[in-house]
Amino acid sequence: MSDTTFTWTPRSPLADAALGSTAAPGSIAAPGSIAGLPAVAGVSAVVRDGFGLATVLARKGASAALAARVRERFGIDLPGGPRRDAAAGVAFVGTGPGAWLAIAERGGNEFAETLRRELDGVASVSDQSDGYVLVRLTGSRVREALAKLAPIDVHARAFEAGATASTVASHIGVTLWRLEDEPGAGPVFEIVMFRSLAASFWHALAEAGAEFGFAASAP
Amino acid sequence: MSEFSYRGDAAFQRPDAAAADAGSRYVEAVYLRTNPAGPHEELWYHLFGCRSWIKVRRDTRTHEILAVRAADAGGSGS
Amino acid sequence: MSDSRGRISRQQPNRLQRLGVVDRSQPLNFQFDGRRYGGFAGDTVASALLAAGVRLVGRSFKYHRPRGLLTAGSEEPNALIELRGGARREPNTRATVAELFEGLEARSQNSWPGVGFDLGAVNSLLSPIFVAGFYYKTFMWPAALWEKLYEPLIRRAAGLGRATHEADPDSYDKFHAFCDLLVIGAGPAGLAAALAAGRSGARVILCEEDFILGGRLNGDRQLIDEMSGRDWVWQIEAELRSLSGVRILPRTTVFGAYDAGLTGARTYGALERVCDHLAVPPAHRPRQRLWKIVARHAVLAAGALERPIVFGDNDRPGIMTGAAVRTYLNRFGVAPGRRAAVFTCGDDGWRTAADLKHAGVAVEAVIDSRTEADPALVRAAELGGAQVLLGSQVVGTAGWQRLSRITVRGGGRTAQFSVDLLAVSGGWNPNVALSTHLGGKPRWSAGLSAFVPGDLPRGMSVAGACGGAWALGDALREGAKAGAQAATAAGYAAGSIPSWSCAGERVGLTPLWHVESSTGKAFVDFQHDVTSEDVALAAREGYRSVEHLKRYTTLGMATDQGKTSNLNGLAIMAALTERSIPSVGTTTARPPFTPVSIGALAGPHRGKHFRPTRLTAGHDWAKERGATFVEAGQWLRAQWFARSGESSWQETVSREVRAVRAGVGVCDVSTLGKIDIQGADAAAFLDRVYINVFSSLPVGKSRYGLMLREDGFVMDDGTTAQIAKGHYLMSTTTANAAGVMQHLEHARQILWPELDVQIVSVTEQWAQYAVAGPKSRELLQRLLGDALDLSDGAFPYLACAEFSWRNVRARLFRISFSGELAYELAVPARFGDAAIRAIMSAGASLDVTPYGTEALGVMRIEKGHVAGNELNGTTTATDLGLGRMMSRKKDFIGRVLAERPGLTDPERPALVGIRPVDGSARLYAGAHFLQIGATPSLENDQGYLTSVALSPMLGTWIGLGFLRRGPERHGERIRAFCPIRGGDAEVEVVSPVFFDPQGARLHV
Repeated sequence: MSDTTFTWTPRSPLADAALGSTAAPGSIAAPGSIAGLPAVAGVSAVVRDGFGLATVLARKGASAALAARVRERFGIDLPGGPRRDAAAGVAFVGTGPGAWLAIAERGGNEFAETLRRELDGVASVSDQSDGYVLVRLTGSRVREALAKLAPIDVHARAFEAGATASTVASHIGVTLWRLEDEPGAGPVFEIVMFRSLAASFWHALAEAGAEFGFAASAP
Repeated sequence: MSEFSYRGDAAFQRPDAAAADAGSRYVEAVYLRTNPAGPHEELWYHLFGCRSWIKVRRDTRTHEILAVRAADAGGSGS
Repeated sequence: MSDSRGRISRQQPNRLQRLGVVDRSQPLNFQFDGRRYGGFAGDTVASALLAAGVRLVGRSFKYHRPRGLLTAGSEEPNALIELRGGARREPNTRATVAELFEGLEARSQNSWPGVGFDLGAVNSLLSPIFVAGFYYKTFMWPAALWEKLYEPLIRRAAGLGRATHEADPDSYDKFHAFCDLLVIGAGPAGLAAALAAGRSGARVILCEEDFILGGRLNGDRQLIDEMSGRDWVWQIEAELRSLSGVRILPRTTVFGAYDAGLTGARTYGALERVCDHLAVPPAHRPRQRLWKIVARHAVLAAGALERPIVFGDNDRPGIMTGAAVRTYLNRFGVAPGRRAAVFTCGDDGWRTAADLKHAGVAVEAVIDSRTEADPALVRAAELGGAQVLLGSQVVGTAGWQRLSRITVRGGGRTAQFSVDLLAVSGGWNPNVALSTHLGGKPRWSAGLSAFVPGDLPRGMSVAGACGGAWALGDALREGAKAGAQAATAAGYAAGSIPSWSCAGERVGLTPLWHVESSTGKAFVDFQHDVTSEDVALAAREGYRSVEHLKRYTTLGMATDQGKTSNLNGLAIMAALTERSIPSVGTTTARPPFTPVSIGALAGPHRGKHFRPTRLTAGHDWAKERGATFVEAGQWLRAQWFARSGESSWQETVSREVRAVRAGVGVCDVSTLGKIDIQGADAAAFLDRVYINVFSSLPVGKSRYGLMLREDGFVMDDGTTAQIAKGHYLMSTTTANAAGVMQHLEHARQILWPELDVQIVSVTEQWAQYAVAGPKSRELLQRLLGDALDLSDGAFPYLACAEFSWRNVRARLFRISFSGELAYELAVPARFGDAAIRAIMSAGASLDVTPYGTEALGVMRIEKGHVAGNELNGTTTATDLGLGRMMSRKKDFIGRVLAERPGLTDPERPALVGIRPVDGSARLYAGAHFLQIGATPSLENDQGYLTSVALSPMLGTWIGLGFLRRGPERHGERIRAFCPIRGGDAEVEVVSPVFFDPQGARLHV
């Protein structure tokens, strides 16, 4: 019946920004591009794609049941605080009392449907796969770049691998967490912010990382 | 713009709307607040964070934070 | 001087060959008042000028008296200069802390045509009118004189430097730091504290306002462990740099102490001058960086400032503090004069005499106001060729642009000395400011003749001269102990506390505040030209409390905040009123300790990055279509889509409205708040937050809802749909989305924690487009194909559905703000761009027209739908004509107070439509309603217009407003009066629904 044909071409809010380090607005600090900048990027950012993300909110009085269900279905110990636990490509990030972000490496919008089925009766699930933009940050100077943006302590001892925080970065609400260090790449952080604010965040990130050498890449 | 925002006296409780004197009770609850110089129970909202309402005991003279607890004592999961 | 202007003069006649830590291998060129000079890396502008023989650096604020350097630090009151040029021109910079760089340009300020010949000096001859209280007394004369005569005159004559009018070309940065121990000041006490804590592994931040560490060790010649002070500093600094937990921040001033959190960790503000010592910051380096430092503990080791003594003509160039003299000699290798005298009231002055002698400067006299001094000191001075005068005071000075002679009186004799340098030692004032920022009062120590930190903020301790430990050995001991204690308290094993040995010192003092027998102006506050006479006048006129003294005389109110003057002023007032110094009191110190530029406080948040911008998924598409955007909170929304040939925005908007009403249009409505509400008690929850009932809403349906605040006024409106069993989706206005979310969280967490309800914002997940107009169904049916049956029977008004559309989960709502047959189509935001392009493509043959918020606004006014202008926080449901929605069967937020007499008064203005009687007349939002013929006055006010639009459907201006008993007055003529914008029209009161009052266009 339809007389129109089109394809679902997804578009990232960082479509222009994340294309490459030199094309990024405000990302005028590609390593080696300007005399005096470090030759190796102190901060590298990768915009992640293809993930599924949902908010998981425990039903009243169902925290224990939810934890048991998550352990059973996903093999994950549901974090009781601001921590991240992951297994087999799925992670749960504690964002507040009775609240988590659940993230699947792949799966897009279908991940929320899976969660809704698996957690039926013990949690309310809302798909946010498109609502958030997820950026992975690495590099020897990434902590200093983060310190320019967010009022939280990301020192190696104060913010261990698996730690998470919901805070405000450059006036933008974000949730971030630390992953295990990558050998040679330094600490690894992932940070999510609302999609509509991603371009503003990107500008702030590029500016914060510029003096250390900032490299960006699309997935 | 701050991570937490102040939302007033934590003593507020909704009176029974069915009570005969509900009107005056509501006027008292909504408008008549104490404003102590010293320790004060307050509601704060974790706007950029976990969106939790928290009860904060704060000294209004020194801005010293004396105690903090979740306003609903445990969140939706408890 | 003008004949020498431009002449190259790189000689440094006052540079000492043997002394100083400036880098003589790095000569630097700079300009002062257009004349070229030379200096070295490591110089300040002040030390380089002094080396070049320049002693006159400015003119005083009120009297334009010639002024030279008084100090060698950030407390400097005199040597304020304009630094750099063009867009980087910065006034009121202290030459004593401005680091020299190649090509630096500086100018003296507050003088015309130059410091050497200053026409403003005529103020000195008129000085009786410039006494304390001058401003208050004089300007009570006729106001016209003030505006036309005095203000321009005073501003011209007395202004400080000139700020640039160009945009700041540099960038600024913010940094959040956390530590176990913040050490404020890297003098001997601070270095010892940082080392003791750093060795334990604690996280330490050491802030030093100077560009080298060491504090007084740079200016004095003292030995530690038989090393020179400088060598000791280098050794400690090297070890600190090797400790991974220690961060050293030179050029960084901790300017304020702020709140502490529950853990006791306290926030401090600090300003790092990252690139102020460079001509232009390198790429991507900020000029300055604002640090917010959260520290579990802080050691205040900010040292002390030497105070001057108040005596007649104590402000001539060549008169400076003893500590400054030693700093110029020992740190910069500069002799501030050829023939010197020392005027002291304590042992410290004798050290200056010894250092002058050591540097090869002739010391003519040492004048000590005490009748006795240590015989060894006296003997050493006399051996050096100085005449020693005990029990004596300097009572006068001579010389215009530089000191030439001093007059000394003591023991009944008067003597004169020809000198060009007088080093004055009045004792030391601890830098207590940071200990008082949170309300603590400093404590007077009679033994030390100084205010020392009193009750300290939690988590702060004091070490060294800042706490009155003048002797080096004491400062080192206190610092090491404080650092070790902080580390232990933070859970680190502190190990053994480091210790060092140094020689004992004499630190005796008998304070001398004011030489009362002296002649000439005796300056207390050099920067604001406040003299001892001004203090006496304040005392005579009854302004005796410290706060009155300050405001009456402006003592301590200049940019230096009275660092060298406050205590002297207090002491003089105390003597005049026969009180003790502490009973006169101290003024409260507030942040910042030294000036902080606004640029640093703003950081990167300026221009269009002042706050974040939110963009919808369809933003790029709208931009391509030539949309004009409007800010709605943080969002950018398309306001209209102008086409070429359209001459005004009204023409564009009218075209968009007609296109929707005649065919079909599309509008991005993604910015409206969307909140997922789930849980077994979700329906009950909605019943309590909305005034109308939602528990009866079936799955697959939407309902319009209105919510009140607890005080009974309307908070927000919107539709809520039950999209799946127990899964509700609430929409809010764009402006109130965050507020409603907070309101709902309050209801859920505070009011009814027993309910099983979960809420989360999903605004960002969905891109949503309103497709409106009689042809909207046709467009959508073409687009969606078999995915959904859109016939009125299958998908009636207020229906909603979640469905799979080409393998994407989409939602459709049949709701309308325009009053037309309309839908809102939602897709996951990543497909928002694809969806709007698909809508445009599917509707191409229907001439689908994108429309913006302005057309949306016109259509909703034509339909009498209320929006932000009507939901303005002062209106009730009844005012809006929605009173019937209030359920009588249930409790809801705001119910009880909505029934208050004041809110149910039938006299309250209520919603009406307004049309001008003269069809061509324009309406203005904000106009007030008056009876025709009534005088505009508060008593005659009948209400006001909230929203107006030029309606393309009616061909006239129309408006919505609140009118007293409005709903009863349809057909009546009144006056809409807007004196602010010149609006005054006779208008007719009509129904607020101007267009399609039966709603026939909605149900098709």
